[in-house]
Amino acid sequence: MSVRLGLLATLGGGAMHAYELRQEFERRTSGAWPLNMGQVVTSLASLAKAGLVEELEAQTPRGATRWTITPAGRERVAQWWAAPVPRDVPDRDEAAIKVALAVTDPAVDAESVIQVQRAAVIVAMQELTRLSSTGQDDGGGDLAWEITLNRLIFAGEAEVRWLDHTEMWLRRTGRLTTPVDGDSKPSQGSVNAIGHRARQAKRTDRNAPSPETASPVLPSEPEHQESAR
Amino acid sequence: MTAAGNAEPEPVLCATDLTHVYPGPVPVTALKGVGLEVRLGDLVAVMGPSGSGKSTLLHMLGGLDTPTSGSVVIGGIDIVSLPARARARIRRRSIGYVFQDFNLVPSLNAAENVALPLQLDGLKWRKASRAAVDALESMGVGDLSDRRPARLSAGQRQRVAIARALVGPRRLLLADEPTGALDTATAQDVMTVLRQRVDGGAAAVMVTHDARMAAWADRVVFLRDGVIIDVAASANAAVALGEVP
Repeated sequence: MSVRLGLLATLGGGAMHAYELRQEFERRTSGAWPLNMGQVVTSLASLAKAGLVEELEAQTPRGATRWTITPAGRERVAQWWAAPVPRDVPDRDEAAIKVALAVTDPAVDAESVIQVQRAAVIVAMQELTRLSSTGQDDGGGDLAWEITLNRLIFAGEAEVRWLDHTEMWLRRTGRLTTPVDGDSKPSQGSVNAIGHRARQAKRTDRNAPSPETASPVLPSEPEHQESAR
Repeated sequence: MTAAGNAEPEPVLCATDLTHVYPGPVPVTALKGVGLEVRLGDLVAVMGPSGSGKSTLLHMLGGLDTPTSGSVVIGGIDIVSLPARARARIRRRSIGYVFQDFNLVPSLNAAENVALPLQLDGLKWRKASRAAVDALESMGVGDLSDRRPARLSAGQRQRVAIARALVGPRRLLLADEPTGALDTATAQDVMTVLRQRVDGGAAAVMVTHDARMAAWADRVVFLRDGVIIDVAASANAAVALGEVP
C-alpha cells in the first residue's frame, strides 16, 4: 500500500491542511506509521494530479492550503475498503529453505534447526504478548498498536504451527536422520542464543542442553502493516 | 511479569532427574532425567508433540503418579518418598489442578466448588466459603459465586476452576491445556487473569500445544521423547522485534 491511500481515506473525514492531515493519520494509526511532512505534501500533490483531492479556496493567513477529497477520491477509497490486501508470498522464505537444506544434509540435525527457529519465534511472541498485556494494563487506547501486536503474535503462532507440522511430517515420513558428523550439527542442544541469555538471567532448567551457536531466522516487524487498520 | 523483588523467592516446586518408565512387555520410557524449578511468580509452559511426555511430567509434578526415579520437592518435602496418604495431603493443601474440561461439580455453585478442597481439608464452612469468595474475586468472577457451572460460560467456568486451584494456602497450579476448550478471545481473557494471579503470588506449570498461550509464560520448556531439549525465555522487547545485533 502506498501512503497515498491511507491519507486519502483519512481526508474522507473532512477538509484539512497538510499538517492536520498528518496529525489525524498518526492519531488514528497510533503512530504505527509515522510520516514526515514531505511525504504528506508529495502524496497530496500526486493525489491532486490524479483528481482524487483538490485544494479549497480558504487559506490560512500563512498561506497553508486546505485539501478536500473529490467524488473520484471517495470512489477510490470505497474501492480500497472493498478490496482485500494482496497476500505477499516471499520469493525466498529463508526459514523454509534452511529447513529443506537441513533435511537433505546428512551432516545436519534438522530437528535442531527447526527447534532453534521455534524457540526464537516463541521468544518473540513472549515479548509481543508482554507488550500487548502491558498496553491493556495501562488502559489501552492505542488501538493500531494493539492490532499490530496481535497481527505479529498470530503470525508467530502460524510459524510455530508450520514448524510443528513440518517436524512431525518429516518424522512420519522417515526424512529426519541422525547427523553423521557430531561436530557440524547444531546438536541436540539447539538452544538459541536468545533463550540462553534469558535463561542465564533467570535460572536454568537443569537438564536443558548447553548453548550452541545456531542462529534462528529472526522474525521481523514489517515496516508497515497495511491490513492492520 | 515475574514476582517483584530483588531476592529470588524459594522454589515452590523443584523436580530433579525425573525418569519414568511404563512397564510392560516393551517398557516405555516416558521421561528421562527431567529437571524443573518453579518459583513464586513463575508461569512455565510445557510444549511438545503427542507422546513427548508432557502429561506424564505434569502427573509426576503433581504427585498423581510416582516416577521410577528422581525427586519432586514441594514446600521443602520430597513427595516421591512419601506414603500415599501423606502425598495426598500435600497435594490437597499445596497443589491445584486445572483441566481443559474444567472438572467442576455440577450440583455445587461456584463458591461451593471453590470451597470444596478446603472443606475436605477440614476447614469450617464459614471460613472455607470466605476464602472461596476471595479466590473468585481474584479471578474477576466474585459476582458469580452463587451460580452453578451450567449457568456459567466456558471462560467463567475456567476462571472458577483456577480460583479453586489456588484457593486458600495453595500456591502451585498445574494446568493441562487450560484454554483448550475456549475460543480465542476467551482464552486470552483467561490467560490474562491467570498471569495476574501468578504475578500476585502463585506459580503455575501449564501444558499447552498453543504457542499463543505459551507466550504468556516466563519460560517455555520443550519436551521431545521424554527429554527437555530446549527452554525459551524472553530477554527484552528489542529481541522480539528483530533488533538483535
